[in-house]
Amino acid sequence: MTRRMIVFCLFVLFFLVAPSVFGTGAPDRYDGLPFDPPSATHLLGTDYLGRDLGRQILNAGRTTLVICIVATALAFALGLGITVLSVLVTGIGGALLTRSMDALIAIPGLIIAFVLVAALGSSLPVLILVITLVEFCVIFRTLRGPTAQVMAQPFVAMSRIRGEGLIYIVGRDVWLNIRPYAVVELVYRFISSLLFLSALSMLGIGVQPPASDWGTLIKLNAAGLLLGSPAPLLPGVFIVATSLLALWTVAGRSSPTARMIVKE
Amino acid sequence: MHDAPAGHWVRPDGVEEDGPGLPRQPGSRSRRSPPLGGVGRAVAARLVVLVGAWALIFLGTEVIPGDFVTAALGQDYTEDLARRMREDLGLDRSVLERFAVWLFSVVTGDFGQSFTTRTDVWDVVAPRLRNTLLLAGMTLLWFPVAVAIGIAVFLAGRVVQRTFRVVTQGVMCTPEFMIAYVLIYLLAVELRLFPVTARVAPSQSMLDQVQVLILPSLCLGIAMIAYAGRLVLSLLTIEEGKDYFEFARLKGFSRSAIAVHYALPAIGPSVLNLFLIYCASLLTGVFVIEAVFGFPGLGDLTISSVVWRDMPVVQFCAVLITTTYVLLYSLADLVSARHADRLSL
Repeated sequence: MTRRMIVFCLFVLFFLVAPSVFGTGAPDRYDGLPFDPPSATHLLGTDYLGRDLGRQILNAGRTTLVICIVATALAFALGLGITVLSVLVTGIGGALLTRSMDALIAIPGLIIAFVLVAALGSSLPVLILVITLVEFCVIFRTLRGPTAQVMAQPFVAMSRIRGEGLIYIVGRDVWLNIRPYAVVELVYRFISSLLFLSALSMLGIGVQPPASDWGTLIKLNAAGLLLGSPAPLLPGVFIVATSLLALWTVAGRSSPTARMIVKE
Repeated sequence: MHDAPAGHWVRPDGVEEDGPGLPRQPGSRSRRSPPLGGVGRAVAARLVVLVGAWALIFLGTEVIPGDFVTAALGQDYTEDLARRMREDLGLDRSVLERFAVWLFSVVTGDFGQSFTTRTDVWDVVAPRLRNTLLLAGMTLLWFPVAVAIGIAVFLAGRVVQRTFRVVTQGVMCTPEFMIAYVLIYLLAVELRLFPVTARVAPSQSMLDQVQVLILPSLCLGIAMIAYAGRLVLSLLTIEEGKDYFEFARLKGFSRSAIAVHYALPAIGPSVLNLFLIYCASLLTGVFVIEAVFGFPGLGDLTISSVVWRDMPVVQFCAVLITTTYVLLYSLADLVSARHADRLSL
């Protein structure tokens, strides 16, 4: 845990508790005229219905970050699990698993989202499921090489002969060796899931009103752009700030694949 | 405990031992092309992946609860009517049977009829596809600009390089629709250079349509310039560290001459690979920008078909995009595999 990671955690923690501290601002509470410019009473102005934008952003921040963090964590656990499984299981089962993963990876993330949201409707669990599914494919692709290499090492065979269980082998033998890559990958997946969720909300199949995330706020306030209001841009500033802060925690560390955050 | 540096294994007892360094690029992309004669196997493997992806799409769209019949009939729903409609549309057969029929129709290129318009799926998709391809094509025109910017930044010196890296990092952390809104605000609302939306109709002349699409393509182009420009810069920086670059320097060549005459051809295959992968990501990357500008493209069609559960259209769009995606990635793999082979000679 570096100092930078602590800063990032505090940032996230702020958004998780802020709605409780500053009041949730009921969705039916109108404080002023639509698209009021920032003032002393409304630090960030008002939104398209005349609600305090600052409070809206704090509320949306909690939703956004909860979805992204849960989805990233799930994707990571699932990705690591399937990766180890694909290395361990040989024969027809292993081939089938690897081929299925290849097929899943070959489908663009947005298409997966379209199909699943249409099938199950757009709710928080479904959004988490969609993002998890999309991100876990990428994690699988990144970690499979390093994991396969570690698993082929003599000390893993030693552990097996000693009678250690799967949990020990994954937790002690594999994890310690892929950790430098895994941490960078974790941060990249968080940023990617944040951008992906925002895009889904922008397309209207993400978080549904009256609940909102930062992407939804941008979409709903888009009309303000024509009136010269900063309302549509301010939630975006928070998206960018969160991404940059996350990236900053691992700045200078290289990813195993030297890959950028590819938006797919 | 500290993280293990590459090339060292950490045993559970904390003792580090030397080992082969982890590969820089695991996965299929760094895989060597199989020896001559293995081309058939590589193609077969792709086909398996493709059919697998098709199957997943079909399963995903079939799993959807509340089928089209219920949605379409709405308040007029009666058991008898629903049954007749299912028989009419062939929805009463088993999933496996339908998949076999569907797979056959995909391979033969006959995609059936749209549930909502009752016309050929291709007729529904074609005009939208044309619009999306126009936008994507105009966006790809920015690729040479991105490469040129990467080279220019490489030649400009360290301060510019550092600034460029920071700025592009910022752009890559920005959702594309944010870039779009900022540009709309600056160029369309304040300066009134472009229209705010990108509504095109077949009745408009080609020139008008292109004009309307300049701003949307610029939005996608900026993200691409950040991504591709940055990669070109990194590739050139790696080349700069190689022996031939220093040798040419000692011979008295200028940096720009070496970059253009030697380094650029050397990174050519990597740039081509990058271009193909970018094309693949653009397939769905344009959807968000289409939504921002209200542009009647493939993305708009797919989303409304999803909402209306018009499965033939959804399946066709998904198959079309996924197939192109796999094709482009295979091409990209081929390029880097050939390049790796040449280097190993």
